[in-house]
Amino acid sequence: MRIWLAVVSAIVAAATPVEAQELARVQRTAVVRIPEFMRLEARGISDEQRADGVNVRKVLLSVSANRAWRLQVQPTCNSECKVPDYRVLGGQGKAAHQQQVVVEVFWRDGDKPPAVHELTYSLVAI
Amino acid sequence: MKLVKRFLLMLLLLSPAPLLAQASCQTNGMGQCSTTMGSLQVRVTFGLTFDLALSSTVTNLPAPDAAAFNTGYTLTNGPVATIRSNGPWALSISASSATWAAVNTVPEPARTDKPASDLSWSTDPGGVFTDLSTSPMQVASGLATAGTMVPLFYRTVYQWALDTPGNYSLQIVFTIAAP
Repeated sequence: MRIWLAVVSAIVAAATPVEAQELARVQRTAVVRIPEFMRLEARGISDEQRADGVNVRKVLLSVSANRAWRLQVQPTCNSECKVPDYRVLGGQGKAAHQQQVVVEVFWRDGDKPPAVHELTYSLVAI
Repeated sequence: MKLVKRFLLMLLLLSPAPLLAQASCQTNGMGQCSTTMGSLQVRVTFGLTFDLALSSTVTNLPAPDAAAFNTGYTLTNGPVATIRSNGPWALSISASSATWAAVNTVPEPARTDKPASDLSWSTDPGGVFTDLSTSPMQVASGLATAGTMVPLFYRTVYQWALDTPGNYSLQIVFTIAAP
């Protein structure tokens, strides 16, 4: 009987997982400061003429930012240049990676064509 | 042959004698003991002794730039753990919490759910990196050593759309255990 008990206890002991004996615990800190980033990239320009005779220049931009942002468009024409009509599609957003923004610039034949440099694009935090 | 048998018999009879002489006094550890005759037996128990030293209290991870956001991570040297032990040991690493602590630095709120797994570790900068979690993971192990150095390297993940500006910190727990 004793032998059987010994065998049983040995089996139980073998089946019980033995936890590692913890000897020391040391805590350390990793720190990082994440600054704000806003990045604007030009992706391309395409021109087309609508049926009503209005020319449309599409400026494709891409925004990567780790915070909320808004695209600011600043006309830079001087008095000899007519500030073109324009509109911004997707001109603001939250933190995003390569979010597409389209600026459409409109003019009619006979108007001075709006060169890209006549509009200055910048990102502002909101 | 008879002479040899006698010699062996004498040896058997004489051998317990020194044991009787030294049984009179024993001390264990710091206990005092004196004896006027015989030998003094001193018992000392050596437990498992270790020393874990880490080269730095705080690891300043490099502030990510736009290129780091595009790459998705930065790589930096972590602390060097030095282990001294008189027996087998195993060094483990874990995060004390599931997420990083975040402090706002701009009106945009810092990310409060940046997971601990955004920090991964390796003992080889060119090797495989393992995501940190609250479950301890073995970094290294060994036998008795007068000073085994285990360098650690950290890789921190950054994502444009998630990692908003702020000051972030993560408590990392190093544990030495007997395997």
